Amino acid sequence: MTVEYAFYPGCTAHSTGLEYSLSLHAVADALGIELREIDDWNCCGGAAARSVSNLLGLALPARNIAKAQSRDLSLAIPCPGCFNATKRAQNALSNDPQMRAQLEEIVEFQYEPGLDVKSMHEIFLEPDMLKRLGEALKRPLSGLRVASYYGCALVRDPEIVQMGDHENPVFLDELVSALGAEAVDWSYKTDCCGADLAMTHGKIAAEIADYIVAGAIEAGADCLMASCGLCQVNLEMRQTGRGQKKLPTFYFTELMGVALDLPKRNQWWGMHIVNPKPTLKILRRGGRT
Amino acid sequence: MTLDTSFATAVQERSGQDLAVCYHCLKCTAGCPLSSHMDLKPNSILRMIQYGQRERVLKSHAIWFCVSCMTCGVRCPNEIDISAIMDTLREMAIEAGYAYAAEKKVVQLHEEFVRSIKLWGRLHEVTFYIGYMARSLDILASLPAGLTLLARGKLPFLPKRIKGAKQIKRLYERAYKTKGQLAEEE
Amino acid sequence: MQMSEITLTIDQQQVTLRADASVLEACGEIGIKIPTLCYHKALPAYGACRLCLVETELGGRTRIQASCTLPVSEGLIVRTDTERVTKTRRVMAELLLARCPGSDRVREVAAEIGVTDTRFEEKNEDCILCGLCTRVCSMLMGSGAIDFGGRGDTRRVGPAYDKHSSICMACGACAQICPANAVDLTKVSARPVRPVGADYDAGLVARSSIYIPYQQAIPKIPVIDRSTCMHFLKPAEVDACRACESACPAGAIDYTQEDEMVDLQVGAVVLAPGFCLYDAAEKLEMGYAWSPDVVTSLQFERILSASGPYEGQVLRPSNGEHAKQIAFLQCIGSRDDDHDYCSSVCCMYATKEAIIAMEHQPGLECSIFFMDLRAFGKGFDAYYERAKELGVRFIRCRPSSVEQIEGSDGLRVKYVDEEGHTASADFDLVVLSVGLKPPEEAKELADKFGIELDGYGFASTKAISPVVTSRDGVYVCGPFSEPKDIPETVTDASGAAAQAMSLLAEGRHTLVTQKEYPPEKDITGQRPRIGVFVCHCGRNIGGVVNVPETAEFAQSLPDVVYAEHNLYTCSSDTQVKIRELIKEHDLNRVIVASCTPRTHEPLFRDTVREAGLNPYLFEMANIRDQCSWVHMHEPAAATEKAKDLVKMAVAKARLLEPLYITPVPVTSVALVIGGGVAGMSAALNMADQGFPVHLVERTPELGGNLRHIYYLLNEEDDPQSELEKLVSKIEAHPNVTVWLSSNVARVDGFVGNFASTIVRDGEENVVEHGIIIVATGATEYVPTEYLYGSDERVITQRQLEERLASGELGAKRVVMVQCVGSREDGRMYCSRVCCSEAIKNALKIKAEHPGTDVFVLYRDVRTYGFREKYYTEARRQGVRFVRYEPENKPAITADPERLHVEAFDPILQTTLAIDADLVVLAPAVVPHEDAADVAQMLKVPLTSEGFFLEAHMKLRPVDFSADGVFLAGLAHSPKGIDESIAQAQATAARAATILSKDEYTPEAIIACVDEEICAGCGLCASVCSYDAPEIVTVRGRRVSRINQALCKGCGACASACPSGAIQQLGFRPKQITEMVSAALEWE
Repeated sequence: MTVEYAFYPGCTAHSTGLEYSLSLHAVADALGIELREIDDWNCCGGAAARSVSNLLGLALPARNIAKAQSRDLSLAIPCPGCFNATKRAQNALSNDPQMRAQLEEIVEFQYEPGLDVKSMHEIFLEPDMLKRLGEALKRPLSGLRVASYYGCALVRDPEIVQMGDHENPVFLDELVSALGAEAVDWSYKTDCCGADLAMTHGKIAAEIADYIVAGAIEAGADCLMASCGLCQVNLEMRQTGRGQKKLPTFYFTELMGVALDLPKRNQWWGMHIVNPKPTLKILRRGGRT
Repeated sequence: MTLDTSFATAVQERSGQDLAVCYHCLKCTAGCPLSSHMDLKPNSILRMIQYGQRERVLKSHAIWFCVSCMTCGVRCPNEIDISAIMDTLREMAIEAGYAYAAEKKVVQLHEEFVRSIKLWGRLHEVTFYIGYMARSLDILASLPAGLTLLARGKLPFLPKRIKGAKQIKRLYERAYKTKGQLAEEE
Repeated sequence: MQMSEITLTIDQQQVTLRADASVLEACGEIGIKIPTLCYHKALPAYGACRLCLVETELGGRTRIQASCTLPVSEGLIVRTDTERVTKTRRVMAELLLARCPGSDRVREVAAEIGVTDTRFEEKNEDCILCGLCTRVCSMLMGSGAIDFGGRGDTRRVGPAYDKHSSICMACGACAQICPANAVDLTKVSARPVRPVGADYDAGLVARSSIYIPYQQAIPKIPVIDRSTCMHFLKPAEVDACRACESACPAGAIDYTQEDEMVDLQVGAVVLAPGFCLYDAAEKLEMGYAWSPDVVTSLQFERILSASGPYEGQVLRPSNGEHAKQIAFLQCIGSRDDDHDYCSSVCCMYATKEAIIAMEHQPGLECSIFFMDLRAFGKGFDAYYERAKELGVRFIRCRPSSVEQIEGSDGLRVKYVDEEGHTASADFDLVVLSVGLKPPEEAKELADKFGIELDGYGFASTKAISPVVTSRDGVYVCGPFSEPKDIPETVTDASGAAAQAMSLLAEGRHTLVTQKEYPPEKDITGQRPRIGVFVCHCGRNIGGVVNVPETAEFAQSLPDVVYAEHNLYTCSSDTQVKIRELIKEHDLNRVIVASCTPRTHEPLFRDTVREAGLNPYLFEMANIRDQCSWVHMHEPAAATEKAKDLVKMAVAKARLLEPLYITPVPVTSVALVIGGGVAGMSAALNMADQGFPVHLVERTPELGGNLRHIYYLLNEEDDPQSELEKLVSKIEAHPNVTVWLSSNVARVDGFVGNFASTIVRDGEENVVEHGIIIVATGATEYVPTEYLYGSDERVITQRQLEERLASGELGAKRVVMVQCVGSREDGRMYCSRVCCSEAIKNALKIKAEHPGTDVFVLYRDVRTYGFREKYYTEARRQGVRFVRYEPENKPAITADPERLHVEAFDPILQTTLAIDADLVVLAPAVVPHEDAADVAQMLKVPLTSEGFFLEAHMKLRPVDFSADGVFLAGLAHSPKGIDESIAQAQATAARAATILSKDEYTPEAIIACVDEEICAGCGLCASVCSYDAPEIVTVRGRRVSRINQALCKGCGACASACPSGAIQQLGFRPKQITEMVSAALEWE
C-alpha cells in the first residue's frame, strides 16, 4: 500500500538538482511513496533571502507553509536548504508571536500549527520504509565505500531541524548500510561546503571542496553521498583534483536507485560533473578483492 | 575612545542575541570554516560591536563571507547565535549603503537571486545567472560554471511565472521594501 | 550428616577424603598437579580433554583413566607419574595441539608435559570442543544459548541456527571460561556486548560482577553487583551460577544478604555527599562519544596512578602505545550557559596532571587549552609559573572541536593562536577537564533532610554561615555546597564538626567508649623475636623492588623469626593478620618496610599495641619514598637498597626498648589572637562549645577588615549589620573575655598548658590557656604604580566601595586595574578576592549609576565557584573586560580634565586609548607587618610571602606543625569572608580535640638526661628552640632536666651535649651506630 506525502520539490529540482529529483521520484515509486506536489509553491529564498532581509527569508517559506498546512498530510522536502528555511519559518511562526503576526500579515494567511515538516531522509529511514527497502533490494552495494556528507542545513540548528546528533550524525550512514554498502567513518561529514560563496569566490570554494574530498579519500571512501543540490554541485564542480583523485558525489537517492536496480538510473550519470561510472564498476566487480 | 552603545543595542535587538555576554573564548573563530578568509574574525566582530565600531563592522568583508553554517552558534558556550547576528549586520550594511563597497559581487548575487524569485516566484537559474553576470561583470569567473551546468542539460532556458506571482510581489513590498532598499531595485 | 570417608593411595601416599570426591580432587589435596583443560571447579567433570589421565590399580588390574571423572574408591592405587601415563598424556596433548595450534592455553598445558609440537596434521581450529562454554551456559547460567552442532569433523559450538541468540544475556561466562579464547560473544548474543566498567578505574578497565572495589577498601572484602550478577538477574528458581561460591575455600559467599535498616538518634547531621562529574559525552563536538583516546580528567588521573590500569604509564587506551602529545581541554561542563559557575579545581588539576605525566614520561608534550587560568589558591600561581618553566604549553582558547585525523589514529584540535590566527594541532591523547556537578542524590537528600538547594542543585548556604543549611542542626561540607578544592573541603569538614559540637555541647562525652588495649606484655630480658612485613604498596614498591626477595632476605637476618610480604600492609585485613602473627610467633619487635612513617607509623604502632606490645617496639623501614620512588629506573639496585634498609631496621629493632610518657593536664581555655571576622567566629564557636576564650585585638574595636565591607557579591546579607550582630554576641557571651588595644607580648608553656602575657595600655596580664588560634589577618598593599597617591582620581577598590556606600560616584567612566602588586616577582601569588570585588563594585555602579562606562583591565578573571555568574552578569550589564599581559601593563597619564588609560586589547590586537574620570586599583592582599613577630613568638613558620604556613596544605589546612596552635583567616592567605569563617570554625573544632580532654599525651620520642653524667653545662638549653631543657639543682649538682611536654624530639640537645649525658629516646647512639654498621656491614 502506498504512503502519501505533501511534497515541496524546491527550485533546483528542475535544474541543478535534476538527477536528485529524477532518482528521488523513481525510488519513491519503487517503495510506494506518493508525493503530491503542493500547489503553486514558491522558492524558499535560500541563503540569499535571509542575507538581504531576515523577514523575507522567513516570509517566502511561510507562504509555502500556508499552502501546505490546510492538507492533513506531512510535508516532504528533499532539499536540506529548503527544509531548513521552512523549519526556521515554522519555528518563528510557532514560537515568536510578534513575528507570527508580521508574517501572517505579509503572507496574507492564518497560521495553523501542527504541520509536520519532514526531510526526505526521515521518510526513507522510517522503520516501515527500511523494511520495504530491504525487501526490494536487488543489487546490494557490497564493496562500495561511501562517505555520507550531511553538510549544514540538514543538521543545524539542531533545536530547529530536530535531526538528532548534529556533530556526528549517522542516519545517512544507516541508510548506506541498509543499501549493503560500507559507510566510512570520517570527520568532515557536517563541515560546510562553502554554499553560495562558491559562485563569487571560486578559490575559497575550491579550497573547501578539496579539503573535504581529501578527508573522504583519506578515510578510504570511493565516493561521497550528499542530499543537497548546492553541496553536490560544489563538491563535484569545485574540487580541483590537484594532488588527489576526483571523487563523484552521489545523491543518496541515486545510490538507492542502483541498489533497487531501477532501469532509469543510467540517465542520471550523464548529469554528474565527476563521472561516477568508474566508481560504480566496483559494484560490477562484486566488491573489491 | 568614544563609546557608542546604540549600535550594540540595535544589533542586540534586531538579532535577538545577547552578544554582550561573549567572553571571547574564541571557540567560534576556531571552528568557522571561513574565518581564515575573513578580514575580521567572528569574535572580533562581536568585540567591535561591543565597542560600538559600527562602520568598521558594517563595511567588513567578513559579514558577507558568513554562509550561515551555524557551526559557531551551536557550539557557543554562551549560546549566542552568531549567524543571526551576521544576518542582522548584512541587513544593516545594505541599509547603510556599505554593502557594495565591501563585497559587491556577493551582494549582487543575493540581490539577483531574490529578484529572480520576485519576478518568477521561483528561482530561475539561467536568467538569475545572466542577470548576475551582467551586473557583476564577473563573467570570466562564473561563466564556466554556468556552462558546465548547461552542458549537463540541466538548466531549462525559459522561466515560468507561478500563479501567485502577484502575491509574491505584495509579499516583497511588505517584507523587503520595508527595510529601505537600494535605489536600483525596480 | 557426616559424610563417610575413603582412603586411597596416590604415588605411594595415603590420602583420606570424602567419598564423593574425584581422583583429580584427591591429587589436588596432596598437591600433585594434574594437567587439565576441560575441568572447572564450578562444573561437573566432563572427561573430554583426556589430559588428566592417571594409571589406576584395583584388584590387580591396572587401567588408564581420566582422573576428573573417576570417583575415589577404598583401597584404590593411583599413579600419576608412570611412563605410560606421561606417554598417553603427551599423545592427547599432540592431538589437541594439532587441532588448535593457535591457542596459547593449549600450548601452555602441552609444554607443561613436555610437548611443543605435534606429529599430526594441523587443523587450525580455534575450538577444542572441551564443552566448558556449553556447560557453563546451560548448567550454571541456565541459559543454554549455545550448544554443540554437527557431528564428527563438523562438530562445533554455536548458538541455535547460528543466528544471534535472543536468550543469551551476554554475561560472557562462555568467553571467560574458554581455554582457547575461541568465543566471540558478539557473534553469539543478540544483546549489545559491553564489559562492566570498573568504577574505581573510571571505566577504563572491566571488572567482574563480584569484585573488591579497590585494593585499600575497608573492609577489604568482595561485593556482588546485583545489577550484573547472573545469580540475581536470573529468576530465583533457576538459582544460576554460584561460581564464586564454589571458588571460595572459606565458604564466605552469602547470596541471601539484604540491606538492613538502622535507626540512629542524633542531635545533628553533617551532609558530605561530595559531587558528581559532568558527563563528557554531552559535549558532542569533543569526541568523547567516539574516541577511546579522548578521556576525562578523572580517567587520566587513573592512567597516571601507580595502582591504575596502566601502572602509571601514559598510554593511549585505543592501542596501549605511549602518548607523545597530550591536549587538556578546560571548562568541559563549566562556565557555559547551562553551568554558569566555575568548577574551581580544573585549572590546577590539569596543570598537575600535565606535570606528573611529563615526569612519568620524559619528552612528553602537554598543552592546556584554557580561558582564564584560575590559580587562585595558596601557592598555586607559583605552581603555574613552574609548570610553564617545565614546558607545559598554555593556550588561551576554547577549541572548537576534536576531530579524527583521517587516515591516522591521531586527534586534531582546532584553535586560535595568540595573534588571533586560526590554527590546528595534532595530539594522540585528549583529556577533557570535566566540571563538578551536584551529587546525583542531591535532590533526594534535600527532600529527606528538608534542606534547600540553590539554582544549580547544590546545597544552599550563606556567606556568613558557610556550612549551615536552611535547616537547624543540618550542616554541609565539601563540594556539596559549591565546587571546591581539598583544603577548603577539609576546612569545611572541621567547620561542620564545630557547628555540631557547639549545638551538642552538653552531650559531650556522654556516648564515649574508651578503646581498651590488652595489658602490655613485659619483654625485659627476652631475646628479640622480630617480625618483618614487607609491603608491595600495589605497584609503588612492588613495581620496582623485588619484594618477595626482600622478605626472604629479612627472614635470614638475626633474631628475625618471621617475615612475609603483603600487597598493602596498611590495609585493615593485614592489621588483623599482624596482630595474630605477633601472638602466634610471640613476636616482641615488629618492622614494617613500606611507604613512610610520616603517614603510617601511628597506624602500625596502634596495631602492635592492640597485640599487647609497647607501641615503641615498632620500627619502620622506608623503602618507598626513599627507595622505589627515587630509583624507579634501576630495580636491581633498588632491591639491594631495600634489603639494606630492612637490615638496618632489624639492627635497630633488636635494641628497641618500651617507652612510656606521662600525660599532662590540660587548661581548657582558648587564646585567640586577632579580633577580625575569623578571630570572632572562632572565639564564638569555642565559647558556645563551653570553653572560656580570651580574644585579643590590637585595635580599639573588633571587626578587622570586615569594617570596610559594605555589601556582598550576592547582595543577600548586609555585612555591616552581620558584623554588629557578631560583635554584640561576642561582647555578651559569658565565656568570652575581649582584650581591645592589646597585644600578646609573650607565650610560655606548651600545648594544654600555655601561659601568655597580654599587654593592655602598658599593663601586663598573664592568662593561662590550652591552645592558641592565630587570626591576625592581613592588610592592603599600598600601590606605588598607576599614579596612586599622586592623583586623587586614582583610588583603590576599598575606597571605591566606601564612595559607593556613601551614594556618590562622580564619574562617567571608570577604569579598574586588577592584579596591582599581585602575581609578580616578590609577590607571586593571587590575592583571590580582587576579581570578585571589582565585579561586585562594577555591578553596583551599573545598578546605582546607570550610563557609567566601566572597564576592567585584568590578567585572568578568577571568579571561581559561584562568583562566575556575577562575571556573566557584569558582561551582560555592559561592563567591558580587557585582558593585559604583565609585560605590557596599562599606561595611565593624567591631565586636569581626565585620566588617560592606554591598554592593549589582545582580541582586536590594537591599543585602546580610554579616557577615564576614575581609575580604581585592586591592590594585593599582603601579610600584616607584625606577622613575623607573632611567628617567632609562637615558633611557627611563614611562607616566603610572609603568610603563616600550615602543617599540611591539603590535609591539615588549619593546624600548625606546633601542637595546640591553629590558623584562620587572611593570616593564612587571601580569601573571602565565607572562607575565613569556615576556617575559623574549623580551628574551633581542631582546638576542641585538645580542650575537650582533661589531659594531653605528648610524644614519647624525646630527649632524656642521664643525670649521673650530666655536668649541667646548659649547652642543651641554649640550643633548644622549645625551651625544653631546664637546669635544676639536684643534691647540690646542677643538672639538665627535660620538660617532656615541651620537647619536640628534634635531637638538637642530644647532638650538642658534650658529655653524652643526653640521649634521644628511640634514637640512642647505640641504636644508630648499629644501623650504620649494618649498612656498612661491619660485624
